[in-house]
Amino acid sequence: MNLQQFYQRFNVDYELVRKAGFNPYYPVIESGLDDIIIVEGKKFIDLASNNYLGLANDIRLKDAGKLAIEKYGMSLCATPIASGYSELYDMVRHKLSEFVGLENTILYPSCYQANNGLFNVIAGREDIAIIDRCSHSSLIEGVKSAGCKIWPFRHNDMTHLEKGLKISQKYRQAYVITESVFSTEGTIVPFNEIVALCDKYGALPVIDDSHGIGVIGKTGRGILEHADIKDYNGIYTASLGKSLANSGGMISGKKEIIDFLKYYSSHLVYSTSIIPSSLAGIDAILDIIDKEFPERSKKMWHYTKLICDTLIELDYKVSNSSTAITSIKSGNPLETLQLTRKIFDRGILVTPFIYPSVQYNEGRIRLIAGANLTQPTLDKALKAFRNIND
Amino acid sequence: MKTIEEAVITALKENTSWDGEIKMEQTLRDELGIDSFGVLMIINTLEDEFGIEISNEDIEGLGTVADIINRLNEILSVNA
Repeated sequence: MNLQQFYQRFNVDYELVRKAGFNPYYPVIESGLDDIIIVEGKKFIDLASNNYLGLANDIRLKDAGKLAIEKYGMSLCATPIASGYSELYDMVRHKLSEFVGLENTILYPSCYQANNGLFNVIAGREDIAIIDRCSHSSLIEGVKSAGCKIWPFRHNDMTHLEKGLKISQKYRQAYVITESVFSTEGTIVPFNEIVALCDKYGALPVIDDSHGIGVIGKTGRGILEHADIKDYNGIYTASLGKSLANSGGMISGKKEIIDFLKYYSSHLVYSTSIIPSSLAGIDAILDIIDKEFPERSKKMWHYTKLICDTLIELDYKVSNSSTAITSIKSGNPLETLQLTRKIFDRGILVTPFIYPSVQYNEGRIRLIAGANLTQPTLDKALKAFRNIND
Repeated sequence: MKTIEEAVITALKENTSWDGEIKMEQTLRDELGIDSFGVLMIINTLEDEFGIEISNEDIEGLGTVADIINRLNEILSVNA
């Protein structure tokens, strides 16, 4: 064994990229998320980012970030348990608890870390994780790290979920793990039914609301508001880097569990704290959502409908989305990259998903139109789809 | 009770979108499009069918339909 042999193990397989003549991953973005963005020197319409409310480049967020940098600098250079826990961190986590209507919240540097680090604290070999088979990688890797029994149920299939819950009775604790809005499909969870089933079998629901917070619910407060669930006794996680347009991840729930995570979650305890400018940005955007959600949300849904209607009219196979995500069923990995290339060539940035982000031959191309886009820009994007084969 | 082969094929059809003929030498991922969660769903169905527990270690390295049948045979013979 020598180092040359070691490094030879890490050759990336570019065969798919060679066949497609194109690599859509890691595009170099050279501007903020404006109406038109710059990607590798070219103008693009952004249908790729998760900037649902279109606030990522808003002057009020940027000003809030600048003020936080003036006060705290770029970083407190410490983990929250040590000296990285600022008054801003303390205030924002309580503000987020109020926003989603839960007792307590803790903030991680990312939602991946939050989801990935949750289960090895709360679950063990004597437990069972009953998890929607379309769940995000962070949840899947999280339950794998806990060493518990994993029982995937068919996507949003309550009959199959209940079968898992019946089996779960021989385990110490069952967790039912799902997402509010599924990121590649745009489908939405029947969460009322899941909570009722959890109550029936003594299971604990865990929901990732990353694509729901700031998007669904009458005032943008996410899945619990959308499903009108009061006194939720499960665990709630969400990304702060999608509709909330900053970075970081949150875990919310009962005080007991959050206090426990504060001291026993290694992904939190040993990670440098979420940076002050992001915390200030989250503080600012929650106020903006309070005032502007109806208007911004209306625009976002209008754009979503236009995109979806146009793609269906053009005979694209589109997933059965009921959210602000439109997802083209693009076939195998090669077909997915080939279609993505055509879309990129027309100056539209989209997100292609191939295995393992989706099932092996079930590629998806996701489109999200943020409320920052203007109508003429969206019309231009739709026209590009109409002319894609010219 | 179904034979092991019948049970595996039924579990494969129940838990995947594959609607064609299933052959022993077919690879789970490349030919049948089954990912790691798909394999788990098939295994969980087989646990239920035969009233056994299959550990995570037992399902490592399953590449083809025949691999599942052979591994299940091994587990059932130990449990017999």
